[in-house]
Amino acid sequence: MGALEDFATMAAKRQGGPGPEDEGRRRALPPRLGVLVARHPYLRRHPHPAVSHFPIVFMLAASFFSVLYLLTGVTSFETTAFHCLGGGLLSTPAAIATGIFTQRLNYPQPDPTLTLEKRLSYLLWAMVSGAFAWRLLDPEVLRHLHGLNFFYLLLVLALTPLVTVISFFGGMLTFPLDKEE
Amino acid sequence: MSGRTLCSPTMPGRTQGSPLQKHKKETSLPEDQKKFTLKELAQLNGAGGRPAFIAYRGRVYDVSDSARWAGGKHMAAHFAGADLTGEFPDAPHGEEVFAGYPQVGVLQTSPELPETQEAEVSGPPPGFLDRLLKRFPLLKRHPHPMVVHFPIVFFVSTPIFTILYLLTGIGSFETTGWHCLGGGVLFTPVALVTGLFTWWLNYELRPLRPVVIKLILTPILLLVGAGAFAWRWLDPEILAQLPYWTGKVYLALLCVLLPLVSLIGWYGASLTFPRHAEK
Repeated sequence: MGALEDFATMAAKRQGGPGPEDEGRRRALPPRLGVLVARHPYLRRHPHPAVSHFPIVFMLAASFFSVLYLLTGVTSFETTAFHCLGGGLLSTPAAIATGIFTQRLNYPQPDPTLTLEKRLSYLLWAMVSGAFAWRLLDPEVLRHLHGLNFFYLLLVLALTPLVTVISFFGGMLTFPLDKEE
Repeated sequence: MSGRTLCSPTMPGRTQGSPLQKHKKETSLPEDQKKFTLKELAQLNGAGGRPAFIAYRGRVYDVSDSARWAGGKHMAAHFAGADLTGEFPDAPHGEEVFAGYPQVGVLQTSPELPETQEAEVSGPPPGFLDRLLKRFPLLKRHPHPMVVHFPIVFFVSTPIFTILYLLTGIGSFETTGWHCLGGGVLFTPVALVTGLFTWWLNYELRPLRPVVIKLILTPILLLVGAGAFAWRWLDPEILAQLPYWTGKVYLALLCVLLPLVSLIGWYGASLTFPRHAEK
């Protein structure tokens, strides 16, 4: 049909936009949760975008402060990077949980993009957990950058492209690119 | 009653897809169209087998045949039988979507912007910018939401790490709080500039309440953040003076960042995910 239809269909495919067939699934929410969402409508969509800010920035900041330490030699930057890893470690499960909640509530249709986003988020959490544990057990890991320790740096740096890809998919759900063209 | 028999449908001209070209579209309304009052329009809400009509900038469109308007609802957020002009800025698509639907009349109490008012808000974008945005459509809406992640998280983290230091006595938490403060101060002007760009490009500089509030609070946030950062830079032991008023004022400055940035973030989110759409 018209352009509206095309855009809506694309959005429905990408966003799993709720159609009439999804109403039943929405109603399938546990009663208490349903009441809570009805009373506080912002809980329907806001929690995931709000929470996901944290892992995104913490992961990027961990990479950035690590590089800043290597460039300047200021050790407090390395400690800040470690704290950012901790922030990422704590906030990623919250982002995953709210993401799953948002998906179940608003985009119940199976969507390969959302599945990929979820899998990459699990990988991100595994990586940040590994890096955090490594740094916790060996606080000098970045100060003696040789041999196996080099992989620690790679691990921390790899957080940046990974979280960028995940947030790109998230951004496309909120502001679909095909609607901008 | 069938909406499609009310008058002969006409197809409004396409606006070439770009929301930028809102400025260039025709503003006069056809005179021979059926006129709907808001009350009449409200009856045509797609419920109970009735046609689904929507109004936008004074024009009334029939969306009854659209699967995405089934039951008079679109994306569970917009409802037929109403004037959607005010909701349109929230939509991630441009006006070109209306080209696919028959116009069945005009709204009697037309809220369409007069031509003069429209011309006043903002001019068409310069040619190079138009070309750039066509080549990289990502730049239309994404820069501001991308950038604002940084001041939000950094300014929230600043008081958290500082309080963590006060609770644990671990000095590196205080330093991390200060580094986060620096990050927030660095990224706030970038967020401000991208926000102004987005406002101009997508909202035609209209004085929307959330935008006005953000425009007032963001400079305050920047001022408080930059002041606290400079203070801590000049006096690294400032928090050690917590029993004195100087230390208390510094801590208060850090703590005030949290509600300030939360309010700004809240109003920003209300533009992306409008509350009325959630009800």
